[in-house]
This record gives sequence, C-alpha cells and structure tokens, in this order.
Amino acid sequence: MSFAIETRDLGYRAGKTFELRDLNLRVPRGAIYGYLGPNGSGKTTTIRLLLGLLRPGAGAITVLGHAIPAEVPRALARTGYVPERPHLYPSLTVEESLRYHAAFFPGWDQRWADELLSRFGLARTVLLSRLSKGETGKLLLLQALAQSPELLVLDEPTDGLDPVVRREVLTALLDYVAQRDATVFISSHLVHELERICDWVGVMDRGRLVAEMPMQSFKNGIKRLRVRGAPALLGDTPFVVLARHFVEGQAETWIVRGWQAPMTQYFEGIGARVQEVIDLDLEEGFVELLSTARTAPRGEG
Amino acid sequence: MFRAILFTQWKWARLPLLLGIVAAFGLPLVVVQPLPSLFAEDAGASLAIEFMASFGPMFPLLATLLGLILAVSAWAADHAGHHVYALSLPLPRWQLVLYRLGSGLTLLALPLLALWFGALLATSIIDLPAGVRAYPSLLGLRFALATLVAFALFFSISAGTTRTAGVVLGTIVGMLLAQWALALVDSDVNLLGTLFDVLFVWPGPLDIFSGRWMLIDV
Amino acid sequence: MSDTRVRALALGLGLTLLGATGAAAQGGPAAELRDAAARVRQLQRQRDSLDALIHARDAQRDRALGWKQIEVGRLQVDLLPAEEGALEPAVRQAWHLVRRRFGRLADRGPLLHLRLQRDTGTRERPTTSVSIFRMDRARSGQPYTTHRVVGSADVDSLAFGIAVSAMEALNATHDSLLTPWVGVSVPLVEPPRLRERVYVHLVTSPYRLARSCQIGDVQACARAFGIEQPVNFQAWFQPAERRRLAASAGWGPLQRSCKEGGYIPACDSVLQAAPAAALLPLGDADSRASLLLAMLDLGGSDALARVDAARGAPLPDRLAAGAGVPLDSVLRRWHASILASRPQPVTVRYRDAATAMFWFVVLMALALGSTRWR
Repeated sequence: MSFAIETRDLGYRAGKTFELRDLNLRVPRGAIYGYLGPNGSGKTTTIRLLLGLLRPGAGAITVLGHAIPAEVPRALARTGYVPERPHLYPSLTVEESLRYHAAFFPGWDQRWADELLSRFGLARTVLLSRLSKGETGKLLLLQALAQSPELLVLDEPTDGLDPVVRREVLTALLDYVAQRDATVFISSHLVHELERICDWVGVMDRGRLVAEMPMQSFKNGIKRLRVRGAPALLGDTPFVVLARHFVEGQAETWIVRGWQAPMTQYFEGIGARVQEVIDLDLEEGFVELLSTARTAPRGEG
Repeated sequence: MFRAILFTQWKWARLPLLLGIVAAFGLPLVVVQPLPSLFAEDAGASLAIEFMASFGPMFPLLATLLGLILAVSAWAADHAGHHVYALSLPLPRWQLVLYRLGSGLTLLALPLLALWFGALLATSIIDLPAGVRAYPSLLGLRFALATLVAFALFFSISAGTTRTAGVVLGTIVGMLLAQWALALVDSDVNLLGTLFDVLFVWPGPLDIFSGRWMLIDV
Repeated sequence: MSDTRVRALALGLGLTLLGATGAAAQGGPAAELRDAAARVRQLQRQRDSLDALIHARDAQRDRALGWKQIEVGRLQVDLLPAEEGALEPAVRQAWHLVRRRFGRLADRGPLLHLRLQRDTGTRERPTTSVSIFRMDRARSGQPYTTHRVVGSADVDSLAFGIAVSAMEALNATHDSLLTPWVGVSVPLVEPPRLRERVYVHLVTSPYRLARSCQIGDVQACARAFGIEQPVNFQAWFQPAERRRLAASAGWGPLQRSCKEGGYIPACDSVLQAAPAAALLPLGDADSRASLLLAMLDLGGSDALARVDAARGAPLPDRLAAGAGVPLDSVLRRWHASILASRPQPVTVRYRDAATAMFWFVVLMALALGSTRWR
C-alpha cells in the first residue's frame, strides 16, 4: 500500500504544556482519512507540520512522496489546503483572490472554479472581509479544489457552518474525490460528520495517535456487551476490554475492542454468559476509546 | 506570479502610494515657488539658497516615508494572517520574498520618477541668476538611493519574524533608556550620538541621507 | 549701577549746579569758579567716602556668604569655596581663551570681576551664572553682563561661557573689532557656517564687482567691502547694475524714475544719497565679520592690540596693522578661506552611491534569508 502522507516518530513541542510525540501516521493514497480528536489534541499542529508551516522537532514526514520540509513547495503544488481559520487577504475581492491564488498553481481549473462559484452562490466582486463565515468556508474549499490537487488537507472545514452550507461543502468535496481519485485528510471533532464520508480514521488525544484503522474496523470493532456471571479478575482475553461497568443487581456492561462473533465461546470458558452484543456508532466508540486511552499507563495506546 | 503579487501590493499600498507620487512630484514645484521673487531682490540668490537648504530635509523625510509605507504594506496582510497563506503557497520562501521585493521596487519607481520629473519641471520654469545652478537629476538620484535604502531597511525588518522586529525595537528602546540613565548620573557618554554616527556617517547604511539635499544651489 | 551710587552722583551734580547758580548771582567769574571748584572737590570727597562705605558693606556681605576670591590673569573671580575645585580650572581655561584672542590687550585691559555661582536647583541641567563687573565701572552695582552656562560638569563649556562674557566686556572697552564698520557686534568666536554663507553670498551676487572678487581680484574685493574710499558707483558698476542697486535702495520718486523710467542719472542720484555699505556686494555684516576674522587669524593673539593701537588710522591701515601684513595679503587670505568654504557640492559621489547600493544589497540578502518558520 502506498501512502499519500506518512510520518515516522514525528515530534514537536510548543511551549511547556503541549507536545506531539512519536506520531506515526499512514494515510493511504485515495483514502478519505478522518483525523479525529478533541480540541487541543494536536490535529492542527499535525496539519501544519505536514504542510511545512511548522518545523518538526523530531522524526520524518513524507507528503505525496516529498520529504517535508525540504521539498515543501513541490508537495504544496499538489496539495489543496483549507485551514482552520480563514487565511486569505481580506482586502481582495472574490475574483481577485481567485486570480491571485490561480497564479501559483499550474493545474488551476478555471472552468471548475467558475462552476463552483456559481454552485456556491458567491459574488465575484464582494470583498473577502464582507463574506459571511459560510461564504468564506465555501471560497476556501473552492480555491483548494480548483487547483486540482492530488491531496486535500482540510482542517475543521465545516466548523461553525450551518447544516445547509456544511452539506454543500461536503458534497462538493465528495464530487471531487469521486472524479479525481484524490486523497483527503480531514480533521474534525465532529465525529458523526466524518462517519459518513471517511474510510480511514486516526484518533488523536493529548498529542498522541491513539488509534489508526479503516473506518469499518473502527465501527465494527468496538462493542458494548451485557455480561452475567463474569469473575472479578480476568485472565487473557481474545479482545481488548476497554471498560467494565457494574450496576448492582443487573448485568455488567463491557466495552470491548476487536470483537468478533465467535468470541462468545470465551465467556462460556470462564463460566459467564453474554446476554447482548450492541454496535456502537463512531462517536460512542470515539468517546470510549478516548476514555480508555486516558486511563491507560503512558506509552500504551 | 509576479503580476499577481504586484497587483496585491498595489492594492494594499495604492492610497499612500498615490499620495506619495503627488508629494514627490509636487515638492520640487512647491519649493521653487518663492524663488523668482527672491531672485529679483539684490541679495536674493543667497536667500534663495538658504530657503532651499531649509526645505532640504523634506526630501529625505519623504524618501523615508515612501520606503516605510511600501515595505510595511508588502507584508502587513501576511503578518495579519500569521503568514499561513503565504507559506501554504507552493514556492520557496526566498522566491516569495524576491517577488515581494520586485513588486515593491516596481511601485517605488513611480514616486521616484515623479520626483525626478517634478524637479526637472520645477527647474525649467524658473530663470536662475548667475552663480546659481539647478540639480534636478542629482537630487532625483540621491532621493532614489535614499528611498531604496529606507525601503530595504524596513523591508528586511518586516520580512523577518516578530522576534526580529522585537530585537530591533528593543535595541532602540534599550539605548534610549541607557542614555537616560547615563544622563541621570551626569555621564558624558553619548550613546545616541554614537549610534547616529554609526548609522549616518560613511560607511554607515544611512550615509546617503546625510548629504546635501538641494534642488537649487551654487 | 547701585541706587546708592546714583543717589551720590545726583547729589553731587545737584550741589554743583546749585553752587554755580549761587556764584553767578553773588560775584565775579573768578570767585565763582574758585567756589565751584571747591564744591566739586568736596563732592568728590563725599563720593569717595560713600564708595568706601559701599565696598565695606559688600565685603561684609561677602564674608557672611563665605565668598572666596581667586585671581587668574585679569580675571578676579568670586566663588564659593565649596565650588572652587570645579570652577577654578574653568576660569584658568577661560583666561587662556581670552588671552589667545586679545593678547596684550587682555593683559592691559581693565580688571574683570566675575562672580560665579552654580545653580544646582535642577539636577538634570545645572547651570552656572557668570556675572561680570567691569572694574572701570562700579564694581558693586549691577553686573555689566550675566551669562548662564548650562552643564556645570563640563569644564570646556563653562570655560567657553566665561571667556565669551569676558571678551564681550573687553571688546566694549576697546572697539578693537571695528564694530561700527561691521554694523553689528562682531562674533568673537566664528559662528558655524559663517564663511559658507559668505561664499554663497559672493558667488550669487549679481554684480560684476563681486564676480571679479570671486576670481581673485583683490582690488575688486576691497571695493566690494567698501574698504576703498570713496565709493564710486559710476566707475565700479555698469548702468544696469546701478539701476538694480538703486532699486534696492528704497522707494521714492527718484527710484521710480530710475527703475521704471530707466533714467540713469536718477539712479546715480539715489546711489549718492544712499548709505554705501548697505549697497555694496560685500557690505553686509557677515562678509565684513568674515574679513575681520581672517585678519585675526593672520595677526595672532596680538592682532587686536595692534588694531587698537592704530586707532584713528584709516581702515585699510588698521586692518593691515592687525594682521601684520599688507591689506592685499589680508584680502587674499580672506578670499582663499572663503573659496575653501564652498558648501558641500550637490553631487552624489560614487562612494556614497556604492555604499547605498551595498547596504541595499545587504539588507535585501537579509530579507531573502528570512526564515519560513513563524
């Protein structure tokens, strides 16, 4: 498998309180990779490191086969970027901003830009400083898409947008991916949003990557079990027990990762019985995963 | 790329730049206005030279202002956006700086030419008495060199990080405070005078500012 | 002058007049004169006793204040003992400066009584007041002149302030600097850019006489200064120049006739009536002061003494005496010093242009090397 983005033992320290440690990301080419994590977990920092906006303290980064930061311009020429906060020049009009942006990208698709402009309902003569948040978000995505990138890096692209605009933005994104077979690296803390569009997921917490797997494995692998008759102490289990909740007089609730149906035999072996196996959605799985990661000893994850 | 960057810098700086062009063109015309009546007087020529000398500092002041405005405006938008946009564009940093520099110099050419044309026009419309000469091209050249140095100075500070600007500003403030402290203890050490000499006396970077800024002279 | 002294003099004059009037009313002229002389002598005695009283009172006051007196050359200086260490070196240096300019004249001149007192009320800019009492006038009255010298810590500036005050007092005694000829008080120390101003004045003068002087014709210079007498406008100036001179001489029917009608005899009449110095190309105060300073440079420290000794002689002789060389040499020296004071030319030297471009490139290189890490 080839990777659009790959980091090896990436480290970065910002001040005394935040540190990104031993980050090993692998974003397969053609994937829509959801980069999940709570606020302040290091998502934006990772993206800035990937795009050469920050200097890594340790480790190595490769984006579309180019070493970062040594070959940043070549990587950026093939990458569309939508930052967390609007970064365009507010004194330009929409038209001027597009013209300025187009000058730097040889693959700029003017026809596609015009089409998106009309689809998003953006007026060409309006100053960027006068655009609403939703319009700004649409313009940022328009610019990133019209440069025909092989990789799209989107940092919380729909954060703060209303549902209608969010849908427009995500639809445009999926249309593009469908047509060009591009890789998308999208960070968000809105888990349910990524659940619908991503095929890979990476989860960040406190500067560490706590999980990275195909979305399907993530969604299927984490289950809530209702168990009766289990001993207090467990030996080796064929799955990972993320949590056990006891409620007096009721069945225990277990959160497990790596569950498969034949594993019910394990409970028979320890004299217990599984009453119910419940699928968790991505958000529930995400929350359980984070709570497990935070209680685990340092270094595990 | 260059045209795109030139356009943005023009858009950011156009208002002060237009004012600068008008000032550069108009200043020589304004300073020669009283000369015909002065030349008509008996010792008017030397009065006229004194008058020109008193207006001399206006030219380096204008050069400094133009350099400052164009240098700062070249980077102000990037500073406001924490350089995220500029750094996410697919070109090396030095190339972006070079384009910004080229754009700044292109725009700077307008007031420089305006001053030269203004000086040529101003000196062509007055009759000079014997012993008095006009120096429109030399003034234009000195103005151009001073503006370039001022632009380069402010541009290099602006292109640097906040830390660079902080170091420059901190040094100046530090020297002012040190001078004040020395004055309190009746010390004869003149830090600011030394700094002035280092900057303005050859081969200091601002040596070109300390010359004679005369459009009309002996 | 103190009130006591004024009162004493007024009393003396009043009594004299009273006596003279009384004598005229009583008897013959010889007797009257004898009486008047006796009264004058009596008044002089009264004045002397009053002076002695005043001096005694001043001395008593000075003792109470604790003043100390030091003498350096002809400078008699009152100062507070506590300040002697700081002020005494400045006084010595000041006398050296006075001596260098006035030479023997300073040694022979009146004793100058100075009172130096520091104002230490303001810490950041202390001043020293220099009060000068010329001894040929009353010592105990109002000072002849008072200067304030800023920066008491600096011996040089204090010495300079004292010297200027002392030289002004000396110059007023001797008129060795030909003040009436220059028209204003001549600076004892050359003001900055004086010769530069004279250069500009000379080369921009519209008159042929100035042009001749500029190219080194010393006779033309002497005429332009008004040293050569009498001034002959008709011979020295062309008709168009005379018209211009007359126009600058004022405004009246003759000037109108000269300027508007172009009637040259009218112009000449105007010039005859006008003060020549105001019209001559080098008759202005700056030019004449620069000539005097050139003369002093040539003559050394005794130049003023020689000028003073030649009092009553024609101006060219006094200038030559002061310089110790013929007038032509003085004028040549002046001419050379003025030409050497040409203002910095309006050029951009290759060196300056190259330096500017060098720094431009250095600063640009620094900008190009600016880091992308923010």
